[in-house]
Amino acid sequence: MTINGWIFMGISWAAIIGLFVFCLRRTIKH
Amino acid sequence: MAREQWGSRIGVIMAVAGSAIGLGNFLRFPGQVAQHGGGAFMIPYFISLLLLGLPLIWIEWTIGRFGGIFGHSTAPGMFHSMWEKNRFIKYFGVIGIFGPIVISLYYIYIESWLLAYSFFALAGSYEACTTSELMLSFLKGYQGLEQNQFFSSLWPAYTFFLITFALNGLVLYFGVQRGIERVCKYGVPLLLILAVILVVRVFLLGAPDPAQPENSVLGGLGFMWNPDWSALTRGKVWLAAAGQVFFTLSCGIGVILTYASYLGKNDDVALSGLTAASANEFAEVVLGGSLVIPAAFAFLGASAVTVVAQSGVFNLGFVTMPLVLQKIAHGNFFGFIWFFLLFIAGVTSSISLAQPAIAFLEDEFNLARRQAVLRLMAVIFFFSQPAIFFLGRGVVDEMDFWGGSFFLVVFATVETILFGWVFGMDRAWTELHRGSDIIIPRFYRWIIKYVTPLFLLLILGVWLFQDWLPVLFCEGVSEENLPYIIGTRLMLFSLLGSLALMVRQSWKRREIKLLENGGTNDD
Repeated sequence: MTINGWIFMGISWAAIIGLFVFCLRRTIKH
Repeated sequence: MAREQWGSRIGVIMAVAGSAIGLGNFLRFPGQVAQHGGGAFMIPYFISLLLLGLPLIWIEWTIGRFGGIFGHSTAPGMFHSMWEKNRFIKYFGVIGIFGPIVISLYYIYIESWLLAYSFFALAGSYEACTTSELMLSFLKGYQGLEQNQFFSSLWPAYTFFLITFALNGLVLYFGVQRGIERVCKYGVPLLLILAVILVVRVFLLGAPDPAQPENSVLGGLGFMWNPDWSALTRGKVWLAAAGQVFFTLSCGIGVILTYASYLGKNDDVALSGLTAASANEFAEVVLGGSLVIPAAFAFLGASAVTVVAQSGVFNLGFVTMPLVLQKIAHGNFFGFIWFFLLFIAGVTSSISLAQPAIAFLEDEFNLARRQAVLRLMAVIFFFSQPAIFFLGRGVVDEMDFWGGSFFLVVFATVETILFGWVFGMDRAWTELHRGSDIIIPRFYRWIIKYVTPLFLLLILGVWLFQDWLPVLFCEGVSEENLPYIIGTRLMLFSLLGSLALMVRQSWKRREIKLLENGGTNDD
């Protein structure tokens, strides 16, 4: 896996997991 | 008759996520990424998600909740409520009932293969299949496409179909709250946990053959994620990414409309829609992207994975994956986890496909839920027989074209234009934010009104001329299969016509009732 591959995978995973956790937390809070 | 309601907010989110998470997340997505430039595919994918996926999700949740206020759980009534002056728009809404029925005609059968393979994995039934040719032969024997050393008739497949069909019927029989919600509330977390277990196992594989250290999980992840920048200049990649986003979120089917109609007038739709979509994206990008391709790459190598990625979802799921998982210690157990998680994903999707038609019978014909379920299941059972017995004749592909592609995009395009232009962006924006727990950035007004419909019209136009016209004119269909394709098409259009007639009958009855009462229209 190249550095660019790691960067892409990292950004994609971070974006998706970040959004998922943010939404779940907001949903549970309300 | 009292309308059904969701029991909890997390219940409706899990139900919508369960509807969206299916075979596409674990099989179609990795295949698409690997075929279209690896990591670079994700740029058009995320852009499509922002410009097409999320707006469509918000549009459908909002229309659904709006329709529910007027006692409508399906598109004909919803569209009529949004555009009362137009007498024909309700007939267009028929697609929102027809599409899911058509998909369920073959989806339940495919789902039953997953149940069967879960059983086969535990029982070690395909242990003797050590090559992809043998595994394919096992699959073809099971599907009744050939008689071989593994299967001599279609009866095992038909038995599993009957079990799966009964299971679906049972869940629907218990209703929205006690059936669908309960199954999704436990089913979706369970399938996510099973997928995480499998991902951890795959990641621990490393390089299974010390003689070929280049064949490793890391190599597989590289195959998926290493960017090929040249892919960004190819229109086909952008179209594939938009298509993947569109299909994975279950947009344009009509299911989200129905599910959202069971919300209360002031229940949030903006955050709930986003949460369900992000759960689906987690299952797709993080989990789905870490299973098939990395595992196949570690055992089969780069050249074989290129072929595998292009071989279609069934080959990936039913040939490559069981073959690869067999090579791991406790392969039977992990094979079971693989098929069972897909089976759960299938069940939570198929029950959602039946719900619009059930809701239509309940709302517009005042049928009791159990009556509606029994009638619909009888129709699905009858019309799904060609998909089982004439699978090799292209019947399922024909059904998938109409129910799962063509009408889906047409429906989404019309509802988007209806929402942004006919209903009006000011009303639409207010409606979307009523009771909302998040504030959607204002530039989405502009995206929903201009960008999303244009995006959809572009997809519609390109697909129509590139892919759909040959299918419409049955190009490439062999002469011996042609009667089956024409027969399926006639069957589907008779179903569509019957639904349109039912809408007409229902509205006529409503008008007569209105005249008798001399009152105002309750719409």
